[in-house]
Amino acid sequence: MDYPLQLTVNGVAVKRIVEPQVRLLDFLREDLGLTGAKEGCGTGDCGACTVLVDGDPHHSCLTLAVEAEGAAVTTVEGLVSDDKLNAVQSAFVSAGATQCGICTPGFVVMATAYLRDNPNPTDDELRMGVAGNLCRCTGYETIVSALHSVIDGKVERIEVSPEPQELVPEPEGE
Amino acid sequence: MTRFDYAAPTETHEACALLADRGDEARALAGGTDLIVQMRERGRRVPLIVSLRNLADMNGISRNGDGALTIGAMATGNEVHHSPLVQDHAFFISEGAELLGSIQIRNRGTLGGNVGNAAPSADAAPPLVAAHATAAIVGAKGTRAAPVGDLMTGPGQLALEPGELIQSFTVPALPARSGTRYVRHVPRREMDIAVVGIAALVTLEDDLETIADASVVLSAVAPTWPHATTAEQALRGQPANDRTLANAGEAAAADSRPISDVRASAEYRRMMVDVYTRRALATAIERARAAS
Amino acid sequence: MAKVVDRPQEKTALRVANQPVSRVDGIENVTGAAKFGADFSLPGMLWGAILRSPYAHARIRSIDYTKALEAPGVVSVATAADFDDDVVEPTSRPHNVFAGDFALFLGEAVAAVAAVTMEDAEAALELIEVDYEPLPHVLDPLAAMEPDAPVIRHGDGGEIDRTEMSFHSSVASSAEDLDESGNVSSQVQFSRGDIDAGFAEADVIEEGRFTAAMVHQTYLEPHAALADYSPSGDMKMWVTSQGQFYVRDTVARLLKLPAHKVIVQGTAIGGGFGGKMTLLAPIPAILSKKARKPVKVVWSRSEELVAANPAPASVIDVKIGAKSDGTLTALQGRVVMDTGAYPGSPMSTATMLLGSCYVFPNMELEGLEVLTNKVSVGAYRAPGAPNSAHAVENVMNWVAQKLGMDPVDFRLRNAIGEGDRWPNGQPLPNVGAVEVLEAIGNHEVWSTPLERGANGKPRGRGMAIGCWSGGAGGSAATIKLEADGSFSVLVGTINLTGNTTSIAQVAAEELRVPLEFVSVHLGDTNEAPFGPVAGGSQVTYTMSLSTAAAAADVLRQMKAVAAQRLGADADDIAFDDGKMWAHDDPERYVTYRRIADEAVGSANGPIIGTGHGKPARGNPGFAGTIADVEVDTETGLVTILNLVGVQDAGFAINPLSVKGQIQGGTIQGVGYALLEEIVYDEDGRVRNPGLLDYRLPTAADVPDVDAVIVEKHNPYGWRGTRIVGEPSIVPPGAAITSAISDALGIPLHNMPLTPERIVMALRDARTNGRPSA
Repeated sequence: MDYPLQLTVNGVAVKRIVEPQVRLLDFLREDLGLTGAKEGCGTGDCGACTVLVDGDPHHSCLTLAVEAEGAAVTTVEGLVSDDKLNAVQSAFVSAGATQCGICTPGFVVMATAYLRDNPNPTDDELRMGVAGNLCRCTGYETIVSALHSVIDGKVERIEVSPEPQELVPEPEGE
Repeated sequence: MTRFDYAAPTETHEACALLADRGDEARALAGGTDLIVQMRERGRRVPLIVSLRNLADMNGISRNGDGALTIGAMATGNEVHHSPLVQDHAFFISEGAELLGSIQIRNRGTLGGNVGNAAPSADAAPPLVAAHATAAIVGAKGTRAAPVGDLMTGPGQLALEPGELIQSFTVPALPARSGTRYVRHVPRREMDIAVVGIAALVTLEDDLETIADASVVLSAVAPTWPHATTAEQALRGQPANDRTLANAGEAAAADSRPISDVRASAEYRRMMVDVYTRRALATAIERARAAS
Repeated sequence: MAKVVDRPQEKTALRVANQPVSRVDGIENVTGAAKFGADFSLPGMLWGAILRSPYAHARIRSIDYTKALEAPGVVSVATAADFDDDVVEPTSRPHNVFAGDFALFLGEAVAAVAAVTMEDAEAALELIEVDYEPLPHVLDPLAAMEPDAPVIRHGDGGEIDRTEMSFHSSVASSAEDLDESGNVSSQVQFSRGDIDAGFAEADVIEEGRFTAAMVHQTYLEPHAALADYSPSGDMKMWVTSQGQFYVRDTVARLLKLPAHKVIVQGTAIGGGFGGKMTLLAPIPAILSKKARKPVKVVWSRSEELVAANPAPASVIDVKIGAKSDGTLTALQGRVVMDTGAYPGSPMSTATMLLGSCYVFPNMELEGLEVLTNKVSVGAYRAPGAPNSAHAVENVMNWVAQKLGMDPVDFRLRNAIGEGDRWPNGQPLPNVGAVEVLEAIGNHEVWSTPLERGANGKPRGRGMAIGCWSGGAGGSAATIKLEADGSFSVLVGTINLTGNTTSIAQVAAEELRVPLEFVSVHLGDTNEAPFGPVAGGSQVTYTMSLSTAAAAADVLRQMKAVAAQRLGADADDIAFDDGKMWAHDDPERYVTYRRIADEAVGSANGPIIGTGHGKPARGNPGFAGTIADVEVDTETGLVTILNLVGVQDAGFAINPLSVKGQIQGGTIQGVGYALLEEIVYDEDGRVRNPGLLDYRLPTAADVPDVDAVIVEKHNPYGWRGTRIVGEPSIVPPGAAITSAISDALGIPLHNMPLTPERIVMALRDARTNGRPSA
């Protein structure tokens, strides 16, 4: 059975026909080509598929696409603004908080929402807040320190697609 | 996941009718954090999913005129956890809801789903049982009320007729000088299933030294969420001291009927019932005193 | 940041090497732009699903998939019958794509279906009729060694395939294959001196039997592969794997295709840790070849936990003797390693590593690899080494305690060094065991006494060291000078956790340009020069040498062009910052941009350099851990208070990355020590096939790891570089379990030390003085 689905994804209104067993994760990845959200477990235990639904972090693997009817969905692809990474993304790059990178999109989405709702957590609160997002590479230290740098307001947002620079001028008279 | 039909009615009676009509073939969808996992990972077949997301009368948390608290079945774990009304009314309901899972899980998983899923290891349901909450159950024949403690008949089994839905929970006002605590044992601090969970409600006498009444409900150590009745008896009228708590812990361990599974052996679970009953009671007593 | 213990003087100041550099591809990762295995799709693509054996051991009498082929959406079905006998090694898991006459573990692939949708493919699996004859099975390796145990058969035998293990270790394995008479598939022995005399002269002897559980690498990206068999006979594949050439060679062999017709593009890889070689790729390949359409297969997490290639469980006996002055006299050890349904475990390495850190004048080591009806094991970061270190290092701490010696001093007295021999007789180059031990001894955590906590809970401290030989395979790189004076590096090795950044640093350093002027590209198997499997910690170790060689080739050509323009001798050309000049006249220079431009029309032609080779030898990397813990004795819950990871990196090309490797490996060691275990029921079914009950540490479960880099120059590496990836996982399990043992005052023997095991060990110690864990 097919169902009409209307929602907003990263600010763009989307209308599609979907089957009800299609998960929001499948819909984003297969129908819309937004492959930033990852399936690490499919059971809500790793957080790699985290997207924002009406601003709140949800597992897109446990959400049927039809259940997102009318919602505003933000994926990792929607976090860049003004040609700059957001503060969490920037901090992840600078701190070396991404190794293999598979958990990174979900982690970045989760942490962005968490720090928006909890701007001044203690270290323990912060670690509990992101405990639903597993990372196998980093041991979490660089991730947590990246997030502390966001909390401390020490992050300069990184430009995406920076202008190329010139290495060395041609000598005079060339 | 196999294909299925889906309906998201806007009226509760429509939802009940759909569920009644299809019987075992239909299943209500609240947050989906358990149901979708069962369907994907364990091959559970559900030909019709009836989504409860559009049922406005299942939402909300409010205080009633009689001092009782009503929580909609579709209130999410985060809503229940963060609700000042819930925290003020019976703190352990907020504590249990916080343990439903990660923030992402708590944004989808609901209080009604935690009860309705009827897992012995549920974290949000035992505090409702301990606080003597009732569930408002809506069905084709109208609405009825049932104690939450009587709802679960076994793992995955609820005493509901086909087409009946839990609409809300009502938690009576707790007596004065009461304190509550829900605590569970898990190997990790987050993202885990209770090995043992203890919901404790303690009411003290005027002297704040004697236990007037106590309610101790167990999670993950029986087919349902039973009261540890021997432990409760061992507490009533007794001084609120270590010795009483030790007696209650031992009694609760004896009251428990744990099984061995991949998460723990029955023997270890029984030992943890003892430990965590003592710990839950100690915090509940502390809170009862602080609130008085 | 780094403690430099030995480094030859650099001729010029380093530009980007040895500097902490953010991942060059970091932006791709944080924006979701990086494309991983499951992220690739093609028009008209089919989805594949896999049918798995419901029995731990069964004869497969017949398979009938007629009905499945007729089902809606189904295009092709594949089974073992699709692979010719002469390409299937009976004892090689990667070559046994599907179970043939026997299913040897519950979850072994039996057939696969490609269909238009995933739902169609999954539905069709149920229409495949398999006639199984269940056979008796055995799950416990010790039981499997009993004479009456069910025998796990592998057709007519054949040589055991140890290819994957060879990626991880450059040290020769001397394991002997055994015939198929029993379940011991191979065994190894090492001996030295006179073991009885060694123990006879010992004043202190300690011993124990140690068990380690089967654990999963748990890369967060499950296996995924997309295959597209074209009408021209090209098999184009996008695969998440640690080695695209290994995938290529395996698929080419199994499908009898020429190597150049199998074109594998390695994707971004969401972690591998040794476990992601070539398990899945042949399935979409055969399905696509039969369907003549693109086919994608993505494993679920439960398939990962049931049917991938986790790290082996082991039972290890260790007995160590020492004189009262702390001199070691003897080591006796026996490793029984559960290899699961196929041989190929790191048994031999694990056995040898028992004697890898200290000088034992007398030694007797034995290793046995045992078949069971469980999933076959694979490599996981320093395969087998955490198991060995767990046993040896705990016993070393007991001996130190009995001697009344500081465990670091005791180890320093016996630490292995240059010229000393490993159990296989191989003399060691200048390893950093002593330097790692000294860094531990000098660390603030080690020199600060552990205070008792205010809550009265017991606390304990443990330390351990360990090592890993690492791979030292052949590698190659090409570098092109581009029109604007920038450089592109083409490699065939997978960017596992940021080694692309290290390769870029090497190129930028050698070519004397800013990092932004170098890009590193992973070409497919036809485009790129051969790259080693990203395993055995060898990518940066080997690729830094071949990249530097390619840079030298480029510079030689550039100098020729520059010399002609400057009217100078090529040998006199100096260079830096994107320009070249005759060394007596730096004012008159020619830019790399100009050189690129002129080269195209010059006798040299466009500038492209190649570098290839192999390190002269491997040089083991040593690591050490200090762990402080607090134990709740009522519940068995452990809190790690301090965790220090020390590692000798030789020369840290990117200290940020090295630190990340130390931290990550150390926390994986926490998983080994406390949480992780694949649990089977008596039928051979995995009881915890998901990430709820297979528990990885979360951010809330672990402390920060103080990562300390030691740099002891390695003469065989680029500017002193050593292997980095693996050693950090070796000692933490030993250090943490030792710390718990210290806190509780009882010996403990098992990994993981779950809360239940700790509580039961305490109870047993109270009741009969003998702990069970």
